[in-house]
Amino acid sequence: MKRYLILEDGSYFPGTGFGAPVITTGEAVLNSGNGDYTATITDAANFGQIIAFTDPVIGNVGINQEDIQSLLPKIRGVVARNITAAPHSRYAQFNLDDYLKRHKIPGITGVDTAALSRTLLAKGPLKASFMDTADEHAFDQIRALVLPRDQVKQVSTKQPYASPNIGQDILVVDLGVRHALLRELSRRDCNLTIVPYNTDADAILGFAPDAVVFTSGPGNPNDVLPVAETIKQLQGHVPILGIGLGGQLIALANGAKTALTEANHRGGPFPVREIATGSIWQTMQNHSYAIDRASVADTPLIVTHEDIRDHSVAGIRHRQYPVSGVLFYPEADPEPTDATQLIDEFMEMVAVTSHPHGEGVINDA
Amino acid sequence: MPKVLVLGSGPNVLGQGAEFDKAGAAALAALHAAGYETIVVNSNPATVMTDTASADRVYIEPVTRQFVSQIIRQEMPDAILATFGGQTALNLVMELANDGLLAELHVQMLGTPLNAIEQTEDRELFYNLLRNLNEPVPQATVVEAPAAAATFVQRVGWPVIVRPAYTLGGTGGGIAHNDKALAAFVQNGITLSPTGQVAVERSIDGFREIEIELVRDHADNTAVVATLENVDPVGIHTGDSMVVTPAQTLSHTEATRLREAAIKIIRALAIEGICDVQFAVDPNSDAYYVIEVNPRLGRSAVLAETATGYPVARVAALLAIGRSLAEIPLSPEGAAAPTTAASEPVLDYLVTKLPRWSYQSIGADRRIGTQMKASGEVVAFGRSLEESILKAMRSLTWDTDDEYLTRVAQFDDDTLASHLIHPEDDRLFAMLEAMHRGYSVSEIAELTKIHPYFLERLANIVAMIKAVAEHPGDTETLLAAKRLGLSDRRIGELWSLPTRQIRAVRLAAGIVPHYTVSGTNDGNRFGPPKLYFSTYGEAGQQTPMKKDAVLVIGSGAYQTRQGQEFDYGTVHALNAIHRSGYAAILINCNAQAVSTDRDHSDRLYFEPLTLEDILNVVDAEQPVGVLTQFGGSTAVRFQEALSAAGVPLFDSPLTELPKQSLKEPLKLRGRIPTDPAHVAAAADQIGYPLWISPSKRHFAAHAHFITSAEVLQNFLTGAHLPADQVIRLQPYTDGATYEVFGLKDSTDVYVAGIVEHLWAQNANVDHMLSVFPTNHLSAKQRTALGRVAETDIDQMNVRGVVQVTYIWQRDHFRRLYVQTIGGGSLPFFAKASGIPLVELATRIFLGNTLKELPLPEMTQTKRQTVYVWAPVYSVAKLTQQADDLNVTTYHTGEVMGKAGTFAKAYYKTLAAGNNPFPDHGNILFTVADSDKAQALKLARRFRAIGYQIQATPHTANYFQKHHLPIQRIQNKHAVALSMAPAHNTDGPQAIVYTNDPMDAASIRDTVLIRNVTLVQGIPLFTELDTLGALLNVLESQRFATIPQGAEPEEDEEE
Repeated sequence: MKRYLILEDGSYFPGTGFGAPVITTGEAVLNSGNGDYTATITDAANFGQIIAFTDPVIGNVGINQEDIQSLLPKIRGVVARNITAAPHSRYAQFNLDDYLKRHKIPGITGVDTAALSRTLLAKGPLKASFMDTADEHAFDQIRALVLPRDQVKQVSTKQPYASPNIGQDILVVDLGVRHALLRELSRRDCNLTIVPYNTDADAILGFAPDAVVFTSGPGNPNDVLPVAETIKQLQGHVPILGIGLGGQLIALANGAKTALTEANHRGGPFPVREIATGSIWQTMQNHSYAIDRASVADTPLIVTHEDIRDHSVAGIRHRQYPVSGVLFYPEADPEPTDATQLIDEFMEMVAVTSHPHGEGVINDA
Repeated sequence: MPKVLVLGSGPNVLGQGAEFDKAGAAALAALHAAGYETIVVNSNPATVMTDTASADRVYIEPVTRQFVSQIIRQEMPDAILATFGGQTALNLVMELANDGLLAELHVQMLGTPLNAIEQTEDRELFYNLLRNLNEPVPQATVVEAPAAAATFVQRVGWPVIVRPAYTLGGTGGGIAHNDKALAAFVQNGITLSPTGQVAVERSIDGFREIEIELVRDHADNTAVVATLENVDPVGIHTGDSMVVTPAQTLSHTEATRLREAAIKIIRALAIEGICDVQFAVDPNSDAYYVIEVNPRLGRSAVLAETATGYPVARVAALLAIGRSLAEIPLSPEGAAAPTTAASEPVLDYLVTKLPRWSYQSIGADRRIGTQMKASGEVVAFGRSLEESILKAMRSLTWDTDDEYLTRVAQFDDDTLASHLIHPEDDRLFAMLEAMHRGYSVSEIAELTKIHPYFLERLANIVAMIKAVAEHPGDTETLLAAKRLGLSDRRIGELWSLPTRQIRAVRLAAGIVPHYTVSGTNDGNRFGPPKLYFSTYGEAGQQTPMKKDAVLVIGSGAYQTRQGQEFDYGTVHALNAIHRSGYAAILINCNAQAVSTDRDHSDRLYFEPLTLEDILNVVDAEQPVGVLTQFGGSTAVRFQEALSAAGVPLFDSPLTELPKQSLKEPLKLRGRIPTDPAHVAAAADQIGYPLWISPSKRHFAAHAHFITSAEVLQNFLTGAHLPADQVIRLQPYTDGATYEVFGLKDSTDVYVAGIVEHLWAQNANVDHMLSVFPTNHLSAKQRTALGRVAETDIDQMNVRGVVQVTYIWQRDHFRRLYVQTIGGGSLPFFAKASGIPLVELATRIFLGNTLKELPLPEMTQTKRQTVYVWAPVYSVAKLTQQADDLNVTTYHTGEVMGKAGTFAKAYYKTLAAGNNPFPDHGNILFTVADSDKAQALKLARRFRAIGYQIQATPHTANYFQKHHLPIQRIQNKHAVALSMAPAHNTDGPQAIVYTNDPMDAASIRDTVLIRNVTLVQGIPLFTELDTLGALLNVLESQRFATIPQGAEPEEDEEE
């Protein structure tokens, strides 16, 4: 079935439809990962987006549970040069095509993704739509389209829930949490409480966590400023780690600014330097917004990591408080594991700063 | 300025080839740019790395302990770098370190630490390393005798893989399924291994084979350059496997697991540079094994560089001198987000490598296995795997394609199934044929153990072929077929239309390829955008060049008679074009070739060398001219078609070119009908004795020695040749031939010099030695030959480089061959004479006349240095052909020796090759009656410096009559054939053999003995003058030790 991906700049890309035969709209972004299409499709940080894969083939090992990052994928479409079924792959619990159909996500294959990614690299994310025709009416519709700004609300859990274990009490503020993060923390025996994005500081401290993690998630951090406010209130009371969107919010909470990135930060492995040691970590990233490096200067933050390619801020830390944020995924499983040491270091720090159980009871004022 | 010595890999052998020149040349350039004083040692004259401009000082000397030690003492470098010289350099640097030389002179070893070499080469240390890292290795043991191997097998069961330690390309190894094979492999392996060790491993045949190429800096940072997946499972040498990248069948978890293992290994080995880790991955479980680690740059790294654009060699060189990954900028100046060596390439296209076998490299036993047999490889890019596979298949050159298709189509079902189970060089074609015949993917997967994912891709190709056949003339199908990668030619066959008509239909429908730059679509830029590949139905990025462009057609995959020496010409032509102010554009498909290094062209089209693909590039680039002269027979065969298509050719089109452009006898070129009378007439014209060879163009098959018309008649009656068989006759030539190198523009001729070829005795065996300046010509003869050649060349309708070979017959020079396709001795001549013939020829093509060019006088006599060229044979690889009398032997590499005298230069070629002259042992003499007196003198001289003399009966009688103590050897055939193993101290360590040129039996013996000595790696001397020269060197190297009273008397005369 011939379908079109049409973009707000007036360009369109023909291809063959697969997945769900539905018409959707969203924000087209490119992803330059290799072989991690399952993680990308199921990453809640990609909510509302139409993902253009530069990977020349996707679907080649099917979809398997190990790589899934959220139960219900919330992307609006998949664009590929080639998709393959994986009837013979022992990993495949589903075929990509079937999986997308089940989750009502359309796909288009046979697309000139090389040209598409050049467009997206040059122009940044663009409004886009899957259509059966590429007429003027379709373009009008896209231009009129207003993209949602409540993505975090849509992906975050509605209720707190627990993932019990015997170690440190870690509270995870779900801005679009990836299973890989929960697995990495569970692997370190963390007793996890996962709460909605809009849980306020008081309620968070009410769980008496040893540390709080603000997860990665979708969209512009400026659309969820109340979360930055929460971070501001928590700082100094509890160690905080922010990842992706969570990291950007730590920046905003301390007076730094964020802006759209110029270079591609979706996919990887991308090399990041830990400034203190000079070590290079190969990291997976997935964000459109960067922390404005100049704006960090007047804040209590210091830059701890930088992307080697564009020298953009990849990690920050608070000068006084045990608060740090990164713009890459330190959770491995199954990404390059270079950056998992960040979680180890965070847990060591938590072990030092946390109160022994039974002491330091927080009194409701 | 720190001084670094870079070791080259010496002559090419199967399993270690031209890729090291490509990497070495790039590394030298990187070191030079980093402010290092560079010194290079390599004995291979067909290399770009030994061009004078490549390094501050170039030593074309043997890459051996003796010579490199001396160069080190002479140069006193601060550091030595072995990463770019393959196994040869690694082994040598280990010897130098063990000698204490490096420590004594404070020469630092860069890149690969000594213990990394030991831990990866010594199987026992290797297993320990991996066990300590908690990385799985197959159950294995190291043995030094067959009995120990048998004990091991009792424990783990059949089959087992045998791997000799410290050898190249799996030489001597194999998979053993029974006691007999095991004993043979182990014995053979012990002989071939420099340490006498053999590893025996439980076979993991059928596992997926994955290679990871990664780099590490001194600060322990790493970057993975590429993950290569072998389509052929474990059990087939990676050099003989179809390989794709990115890997296709690994789940992300699996890929991560292998990645982490590779990083752990490169860190444990503390390599500052490149490392290759090979894994065997169970298709049915999470299990994997580390099967091989190469702590140096190799064939796969060069493939990774081509596929990804990541300049592996340059980065490895800079890492070796202590740069860190993030300090090595790769993208062009001014990029928004600069790419450094810390960035890992991700591809939005697929790359397929196919091995290219040559008849001579694969031999009669066409099965492929753990021992590499490919002579070269092709690489193709596509936006789908199907496209890259189809482009790779036609990159093999269409002759082969046809050959294979015809072959597999003739198989009956049983034969086909057997070929699927026991793979031969036709495997890919056999699988496609099986699909045509209705085999399912899972059936083929069962038989071949190839992952079904890849077979699905082949099934897509077969389905498309069917769809095309069912929709003749349909434009939509045509577009779909072109997008999948089918050639115009194949579509034409399916539609019963000539290829050119498909092209016309295609152009009329606007179905043309567009060209994509590799490696830019994720924002990373690993260098200036230079490598382009075609794809259909996409926008592409190719824009017109800013200046006039010249398109150079490369020589494609290395074949046994068309190797690196042809690429040498391509590289120099490209550089000359660029320097002349034109944009130099190359089309080629060989990742090992130096010409496909991005530094050597302004734009590189990595495309198949077929008329279709060349014309497409011409359409896209509109070059002012196309140059074919330096692309070997691959490029030259397009002259006629390109000219017919209206493409501006710089070289004379074929219509004006005499057919002598192929290296064939002048009088007997072309097809000769198998009419006995006709052949006899032609034979009379040449004169007896002669060689006759029923041969196809690329399959130089068995040649037969014919002494008389009667023998010829018998041969023709008995050979049962098909009616359309091509037959080649070639004169038997004895003694030296003389190759004149000339240049020609439209009007003038320039004779640049003469190379003497010694021992060019027959059509069947590559000639043995070349010398410059000539050794046997008087000044008068040289002048005469120069004049003869000038007249000859003047009458030829050619331009550019012309190589004409003559033989001296009594009182005149007789012309034997004309070659106008570069290659051959051209690099040797250019290096020896210092005359840049390729550059000069290129400038003629670009419009200069000879009068305008700076031409040195014939330099023969000016130089005091003698240059000797010698071929090097991939000896061990020929074993299965040893007892075949009429075998075609061929060389895979070449060496050059350079010294003040012929004798010393010759000695160096022996030292640099695989068969160094032994410093003690037995010399076997078997000489013609006319040579016996001279041979006796030589034998005495050998005795005087401690050699033992052996002789066959007639020679023995003569020697004994003259009181020379010798060991009598009964039958020369028996001797020759029973000399195995090579290190047998009872057998001869060198053979001196001369024959009677008019005696057929004697000449047959020459061939037999030559073949056997090649296989056994024993130096053979068929010319007593040369042997005498060598003796001078041997004598000058030592003192005679003579008891009192036994001082030599005057020579006794007959």
